[in-house]
Amino acid sequence: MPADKLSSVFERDPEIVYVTDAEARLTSISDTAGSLLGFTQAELLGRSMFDLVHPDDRATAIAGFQESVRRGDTEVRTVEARLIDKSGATHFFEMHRRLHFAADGSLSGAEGIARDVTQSRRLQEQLRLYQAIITASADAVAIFDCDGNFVEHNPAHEKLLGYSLAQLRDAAKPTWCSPEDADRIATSLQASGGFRGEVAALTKDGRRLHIDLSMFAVMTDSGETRRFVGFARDQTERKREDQHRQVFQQLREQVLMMQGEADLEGVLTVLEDGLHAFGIHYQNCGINLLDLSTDPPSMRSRSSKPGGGWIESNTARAVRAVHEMWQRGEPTYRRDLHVDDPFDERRYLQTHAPIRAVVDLPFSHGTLALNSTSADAFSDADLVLLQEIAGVLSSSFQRIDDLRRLALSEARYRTLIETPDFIVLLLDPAGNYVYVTPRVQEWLGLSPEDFYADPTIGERIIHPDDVEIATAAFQRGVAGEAQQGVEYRWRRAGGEYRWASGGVYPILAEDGAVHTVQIVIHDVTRLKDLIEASERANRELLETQARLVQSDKMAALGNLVAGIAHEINTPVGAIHSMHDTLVRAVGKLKATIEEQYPECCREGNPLAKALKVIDDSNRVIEAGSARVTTIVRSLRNFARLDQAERKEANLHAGLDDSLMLIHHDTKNRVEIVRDYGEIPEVLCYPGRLNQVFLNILNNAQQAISASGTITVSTRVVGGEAHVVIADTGSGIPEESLSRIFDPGYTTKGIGVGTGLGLSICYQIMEDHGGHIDVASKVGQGTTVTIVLPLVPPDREETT
Amino acid sequence: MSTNLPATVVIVDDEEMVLTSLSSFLTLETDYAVHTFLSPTAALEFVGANEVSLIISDYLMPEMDGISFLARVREIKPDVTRIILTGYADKENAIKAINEVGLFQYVEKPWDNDNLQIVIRNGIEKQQLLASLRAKVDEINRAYAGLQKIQTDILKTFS
Repeated sequence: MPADKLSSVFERDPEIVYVTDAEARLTSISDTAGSLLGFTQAELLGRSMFDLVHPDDRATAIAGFQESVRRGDTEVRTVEARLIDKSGATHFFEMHRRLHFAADGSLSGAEGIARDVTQSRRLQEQLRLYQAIITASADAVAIFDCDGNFVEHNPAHEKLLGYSLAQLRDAAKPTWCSPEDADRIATSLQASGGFRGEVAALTKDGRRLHIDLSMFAVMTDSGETRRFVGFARDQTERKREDQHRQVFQQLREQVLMMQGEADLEGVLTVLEDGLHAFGIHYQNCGINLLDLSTDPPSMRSRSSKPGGGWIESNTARAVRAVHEMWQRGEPTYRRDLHVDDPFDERRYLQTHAPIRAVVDLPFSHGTLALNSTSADAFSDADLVLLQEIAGVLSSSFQRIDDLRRLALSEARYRTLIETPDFIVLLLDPAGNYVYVTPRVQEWLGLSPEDFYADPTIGERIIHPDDVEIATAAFQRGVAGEAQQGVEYRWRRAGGEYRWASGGVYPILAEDGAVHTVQIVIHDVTRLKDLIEASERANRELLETQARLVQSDKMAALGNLVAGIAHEINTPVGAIHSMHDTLVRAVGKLKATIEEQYPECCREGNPLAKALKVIDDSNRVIEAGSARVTTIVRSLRNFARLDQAERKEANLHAGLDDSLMLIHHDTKNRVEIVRDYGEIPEVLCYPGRLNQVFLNILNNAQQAISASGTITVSTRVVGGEAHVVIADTGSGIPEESLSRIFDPGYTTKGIGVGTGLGLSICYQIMEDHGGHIDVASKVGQGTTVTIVLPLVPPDREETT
Repeated sequence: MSTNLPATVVIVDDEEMVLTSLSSFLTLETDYAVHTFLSPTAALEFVGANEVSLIISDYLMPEMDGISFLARVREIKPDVTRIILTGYADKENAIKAINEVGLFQYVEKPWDNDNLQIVIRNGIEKQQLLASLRAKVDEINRAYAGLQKIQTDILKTFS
């Protein structure tokens, strides 16, 4: 800083005038010492001048003084020293002193003027600091005069623009910024004395920079503008980064919004803006989409032009070229088609514009392509940027694919899980419901929330008999065991139970522990009903069949018995009648003999003997024919063809007829005990009841292997006739007892029994409104109780 | 009831022993004139040619069943008492037959001789009552015819 700039400071500052003796003691001092150092004249007089000097400077001051004394220097010398004022503060003083010597050459005294230069010294210090800061600043700093000429600049400025100060001074016009920016700055400076904003700067080597510029005027105290100072920061890189970030941000946002290829137009628009912002110049920009699902692959292309639409590529050459470039996986740059045209595309590309350079950048589904009418149009940095863009496209297309797959699989899963055919329950191992199909609402009248809210809901809605089964199945699921066909009943909200067939599937976490138990339940109520109905139908069919067979048998037997009865009755009738006639004839003969030949009747007479033989013969013939008559009547009664008729019948007669029919099997082997009570005639189907009696009596006698007893007792018990047939036979094992009335069940072996007997009996008793009870003990015998209401329930006559 | 001549009874059965036993009994205990036939056709011939009070027929016979036979008898001699004797157990069919053909009695084999005798006696009585009734009616008819003739003659005389 020039000294004249500070002259005003000196002019204003007072100075101390002092005189010392040879010992440097103050002998005289001006009043100003009071205002500058705080001491009164009286306090200073007599004290050594060096006492006022700062201890650090004292030695130097004394040494300089003594040196001057030794040389006998009488010139005015200027020294600087720091003085301490009365309060102890330091002041910079500039002292101009001159020594006086006596004639003998000895020092007689000194006089001097001391000026306080503290202020100026501080300013100088600051100035040095500022200069250092400016020089070291990374920001470019320049100082202009009022005409806009460069006065000074710092190294950062030179580095930024590449011009030396001399070159800048010599330049006629500002070459570092555009005329528009220069005007803008000048206008602002004139209006407000400052400028702040972004300007584009041009470097010496022609690069275009974005500069954050701040300029202000430096004025004198009088307000006169002396200089302009400008600070400039290069924002090119930051700007570029911002732009890069912004473009990619926009691209990604656009891509995120993409739901399908139709939205690609928006992406391309953003892409174009980005390319423009990056300063990448091109003729056409487009996307080639390859479809590899066909053979050979097909391709659709889309230009960035708005509303361009998709163009189905119909040239095998173009498809092959793009496919090949796509397979390479890295940018394929044809720098100049005039020099090298590997894909033979010059003719094709130059139909609309004289394309020279083309680059294809592969991404997941095809290539991003740019071309230009300039050869070698794209720099390495451009290619890096374009590759980055291709990467964003890859992720966008993959995302579309993922979305599509996800939507598909979710839809598939949802359709599956919410199908009406089954409901899905997910439970954690503690038994809390994690997921419940909404379908459960239709199924049970409960919402999934009901399940989420209450983990014990199952115990309330599962049939009490089935809770154990369901709980055990779940616990096995928690233990990792998958199960199928677990059947239990759930109660609907209305109270009706529904049959469920459940599959229990443990879902394992990565560590192998059961993470979730999945329960898939089918409503098998209808199935159950169907099975039950079909079982019932099957049983009825068997019963019907049995009845048919039985009634066929009975009809056949009836016919047979009728025929046999006729055949037997004829001779029996003849014998019976003839015997009667014979008895009568013999009676007449005897009467005649007794009347006419009384002596012949005396005992010992041969004629009397002969008559006795005739009488005995007649008795035997009578007994025999009576027996035959009874058998035939029983047989005929039993197989009576009037069974369709319901009528009053004597149960004892039926029992007797039946016993008669098993007589040949029981005589001399089984004792028959009849214990008949008082039973009124019962309205029934006698023929069919006889069937029941015969069946059970036959079973009883068959159960007795050697000898035993069959006791037939009858009683009236509370409006019912009880016919109890008890045998002392082998008995029925407990496990068979429940099945003896099942159609087709037989223990007699194929060929012995049809297995239909007891089921028919059961049916007959049901038709009568009665039933059959069986009690049995193996080794002790069986007791069958046939229960028949005395007044049968009013029902339609069955055949 | 006085009868000048013993009643004629015809028995038809394809079994000789039945014929023998029945005729033996009736011969022993009654004075009916008993005629037995193994063949219904032969029996019909006899019935057509003779005065018969009562016919006992078996039900099942190879040549002709008893119902048809008795139906033919009714055609030629409606007043003859008809009894069927059967060993067949099918009572329902028998009753149907009785209703269709109009039988006097249905007797099951084996029969009781005393019961049968009563049935036969009643049957013969019925036949004889019918016969005497018919004779009386004939007499009346004849008298009536005579009266008509007299009336005609009187009308002719006075006309």
